[in-house]
Amino acid sequence: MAPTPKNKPAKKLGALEEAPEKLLQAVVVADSFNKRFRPLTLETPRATNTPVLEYTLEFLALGGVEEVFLYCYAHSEKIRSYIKSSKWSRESSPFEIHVIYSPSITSVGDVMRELDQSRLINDDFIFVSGDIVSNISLQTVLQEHKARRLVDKSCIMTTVLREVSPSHRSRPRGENAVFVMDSNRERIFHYEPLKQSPPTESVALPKDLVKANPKMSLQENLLDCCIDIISFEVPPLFTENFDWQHSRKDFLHGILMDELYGKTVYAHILKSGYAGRIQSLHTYDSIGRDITNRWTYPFCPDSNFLDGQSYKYSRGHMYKEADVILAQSAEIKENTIIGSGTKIEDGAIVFGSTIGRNCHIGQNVKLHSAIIWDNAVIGDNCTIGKAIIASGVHINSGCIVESGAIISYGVEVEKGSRILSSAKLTKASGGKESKNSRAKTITEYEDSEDDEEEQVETSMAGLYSWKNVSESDFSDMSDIDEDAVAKKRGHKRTNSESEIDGFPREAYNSLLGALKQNHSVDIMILELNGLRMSANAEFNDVRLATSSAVVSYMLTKITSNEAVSKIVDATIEKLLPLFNRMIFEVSDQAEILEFMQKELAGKERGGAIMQAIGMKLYNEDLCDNDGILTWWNDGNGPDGETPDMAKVREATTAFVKWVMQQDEDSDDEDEDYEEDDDDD
Amino acid sequence: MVADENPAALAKFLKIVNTVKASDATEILIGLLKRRQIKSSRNVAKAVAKLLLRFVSQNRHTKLSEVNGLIKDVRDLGKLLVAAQPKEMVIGNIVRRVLGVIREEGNEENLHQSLADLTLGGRLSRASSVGDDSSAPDSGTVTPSSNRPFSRDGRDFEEDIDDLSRRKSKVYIPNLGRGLTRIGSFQAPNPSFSEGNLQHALFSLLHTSPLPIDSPGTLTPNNKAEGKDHFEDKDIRGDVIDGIKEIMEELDVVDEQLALASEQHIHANEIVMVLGSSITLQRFLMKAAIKRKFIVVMVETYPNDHKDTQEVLKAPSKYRLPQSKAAAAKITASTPKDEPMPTLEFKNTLTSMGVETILIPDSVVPAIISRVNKVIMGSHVILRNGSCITNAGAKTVARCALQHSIPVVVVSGVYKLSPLYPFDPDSMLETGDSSAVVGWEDGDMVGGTEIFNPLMDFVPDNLVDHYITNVGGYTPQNLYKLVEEQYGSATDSLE
Repeated sequence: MAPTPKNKPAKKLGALEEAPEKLLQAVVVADSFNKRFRPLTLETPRATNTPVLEYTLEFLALGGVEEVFLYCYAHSEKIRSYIKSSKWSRESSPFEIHVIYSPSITSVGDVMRELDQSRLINDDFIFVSGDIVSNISLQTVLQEHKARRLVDKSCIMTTVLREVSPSHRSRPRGENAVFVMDSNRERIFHYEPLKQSPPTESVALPKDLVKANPKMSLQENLLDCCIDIISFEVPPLFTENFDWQHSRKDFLHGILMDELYGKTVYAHILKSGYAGRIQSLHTYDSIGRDITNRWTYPFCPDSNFLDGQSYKYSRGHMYKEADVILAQSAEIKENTIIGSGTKIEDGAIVFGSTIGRNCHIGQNVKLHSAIIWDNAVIGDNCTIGKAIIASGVHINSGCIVESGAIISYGVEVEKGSRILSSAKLTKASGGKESKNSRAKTITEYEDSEDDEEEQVETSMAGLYSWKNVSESDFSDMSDIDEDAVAKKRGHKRTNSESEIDGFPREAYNSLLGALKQNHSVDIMILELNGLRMSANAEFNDVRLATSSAVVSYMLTKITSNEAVSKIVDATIEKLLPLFNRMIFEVSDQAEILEFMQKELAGKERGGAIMQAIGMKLYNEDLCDNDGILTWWNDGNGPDGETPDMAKVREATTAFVKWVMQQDEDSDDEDEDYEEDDDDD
Repeated sequence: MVADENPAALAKFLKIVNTVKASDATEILIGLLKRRQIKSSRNVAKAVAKLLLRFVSQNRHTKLSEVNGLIKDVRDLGKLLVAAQPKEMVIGNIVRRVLGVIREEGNEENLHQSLADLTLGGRLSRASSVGDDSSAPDSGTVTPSSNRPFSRDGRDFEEDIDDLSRRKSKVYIPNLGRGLTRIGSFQAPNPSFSEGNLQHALFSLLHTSPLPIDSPGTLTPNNKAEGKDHFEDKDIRGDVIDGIKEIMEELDVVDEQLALASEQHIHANEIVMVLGSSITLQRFLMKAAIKRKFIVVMVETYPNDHKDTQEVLKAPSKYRLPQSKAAAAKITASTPKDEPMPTLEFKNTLTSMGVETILIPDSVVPAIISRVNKVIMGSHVILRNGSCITNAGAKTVARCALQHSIPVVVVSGVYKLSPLYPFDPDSMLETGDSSAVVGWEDGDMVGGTEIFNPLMDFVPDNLVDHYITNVGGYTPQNLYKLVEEQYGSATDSLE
């Protein structure tokens, strides 16, 4: 990965048409690595009757990309054969496309590591996922990035953000984040992902950051387009940090948190143009609408990007392909797309809907914002709301499909059924659903029966009833001065995250991450050591970080009083080697107990946990009598024990008393021993 | 009409088109058209002409006997291109023009053949065969140069012209009769022609390079070997290529030709309302500004063209011939005296040339229009019946002008003239990016309203008073004649 610095000045001149010596490369990840589209992921996802990937590739072509690496994991064969037969593999394609399948890819991080190994990248490249719909000019962003690179060598990434109003329909849910930027809104200082449930209430900023930058702008109303210009230095970083998975949560957050890297990340905030990412059914619907409404111009249905498409635009955002048969009394209203071979019978009303090819829409059918894929048959007198009807579905007459339902491939719905908004009907595929695959069977599912983890995001009902869910403090951009920031931090003092900075913070993050992902203790030790060495940190910092991480981890795990001792024991047992490496003296023992106490202060079941910890540490010989007593006595002084801390201490009284008892016993023994000694 | 947003794409295409196979070049162009990387009538026209040149030069049908095959191939290519971007109707125009050239070559050679059958084969030259008077003094001389009608000094040109115009295929000839001086004052790139002879100069546009061999008198062994009628096997490719090159040259010089007419249409102390920011219009006004003092009222045409319009007023650097540098250089090289438009001119704004320029929003057009002497607008495409498609907002302006009986003049190159009839004008209009009207970031608007952004307006024929083309002025009612002259009677459906 030898960068050639000599090329840099030449690149500066590389205006639009002056061909740079190096090809402009783009990496496309054609997999979202989640299950949000289930049960529809069985085929390449598509929007407005065109595969989504097509929009991404067109966007790259518009941006003047010359080489594309398409990484795929799921459905790799389908994607490969699709690309092979498409115009992109022909001689005339604006770029060379390589489809790369690797079974080991399960995240963006893996793709990056793969990239690093393959050494395909020789310059800054564009990194997008295969579900981007955008019409922005990549060249502008690129030029800006390159100009910046000349000034700031440590700039490793420019990410494209789009300012949108907080309640925008095309904002993805569950992917919101706060960007902390300089006052010009160029450099990103800090990235903090926001959780949807439970909603994140506070964001902690590193202390140094606030000190160093009296003026910052915090923004939450930015739509992350997931279009990044990434420097060739980034893939090796992913190799170094083998636990980075996500390009935002892990990489961006990590690289900004860790000043050791000394890297900077910049934002390109779009004021105009369109950029969206189809990452959930919610955005699938809204971006489909944006395409129909020509926000994505020139990427509209009537651009006919696929071979054989013949969409024509007519007033009112209506797109019809050739050979559409419309009955005289059928009413086609605004924002509709109708594929060729589709027949719409008398009295049908179609509004805001997308209908694929060779569908049959019966008499007096009402389609309101429905998305229907190819070869579907909708019987007479049906009413269909904002639902997705996949290919080959047969809905018999008189059915009502409520908004939010998903009917997957080849399902046949019986006459007069009513499909609830939360229903997901599927005929085949995974697990228990398969038994209902017989034709003429209505396989109706309540949401609860369906998928495991991403329940909230997959549910169409939830998707469509999208409201202003996340109106946090940060929803409006504001330049705030130091005082205000300090104030914000001030009332979040109790938050353990906000109290530690620098090394402890990093160590804390890394440990907590490792604990959550159940890494082996050796790895944790390795990581911690590495961090400690590089930051030249003291052992008490290590202890601070470790105790806060352990406590945080335990707190997330412990849900009932019964579980306390079990979890505490398991955790500490697991981390024994780690503790062994940081506890050397009596004072260390006292210190770590104190840190734990601090962390537990004010927490639910803090006392019980503290007692369990003390017990376990004692049993494992990590702490001896002296240590525990030192801690007990130290804290008893008048200096700084908050009431919360005191409460934790109170709870351990019994334990300490017991320890004292033991102490006395052993003292006796010691004395005996000494006496024996004397005897000799 | 729409100013170049991405001339780089066109430049790149023109550069690579000769290095790849014609079929690949076609697909590349289709991609560029679909992504709208090449837009504006002229850029599209240039790209299409260049592609056709490549296509014809690589086509397997080269012989006269295969002319129908060639026509079919070109028509099929045209269908592909038109389907790629049906809203750029100039694609169809250029393809039809090229089809016309091919047909003409075919007919011409057929004519040869029939004449050759009558007279002594091999003694006839092309030149003599076209003329009625095959017995003209020098017609018998079989030399390559005698193939060129204009090489026959002292010959009555009207005769030739009549003859040619009867065949209704060439571009300029029919117009030599009227408005000749105006058009003719543009000079052909070939300096070898005498300046005085305008007909010569114009005619030379059609045949700038000598035909590649094959005057009927020189039979190639190949022809003999095939044992076919040697006239049938004549290679027409060279002629067709020349024809396409003429079209390309026309595209390069059309602005200058149009500008020459400006003085006749803009008079001293007139107030002219101008709609559109195209280079063509700018040149037109600049040229008039050299001699005349007048006031220009620019209509902003928000939201799609207002930036360009403002650009025209303040920073004309953009109009310093960025994309046709090569073309300009070529012309300069061949006829130094007759450099079309000095680039210098475009360093100046209209204001700096002494023209008072007023920029108005579209909404005040009805109020201002009564003060105006004339409305000048550009166009996207002109249709057979005399209506035209122009920037959105033009119809309002034209309608206002009609109310006040103010003449509306459309300035446009003849390559924008389409033989199509607007049966369904709506389908010819393009709808653009909604975000020009409302920013996409405004979630409430995006979700709650229907937003449309038409890029084009259909201006019916009764709202236009006069068309100024590079081959002369026409009223809407007479445009059909020009269509006939341009495209002949053949109707090629490219749908």
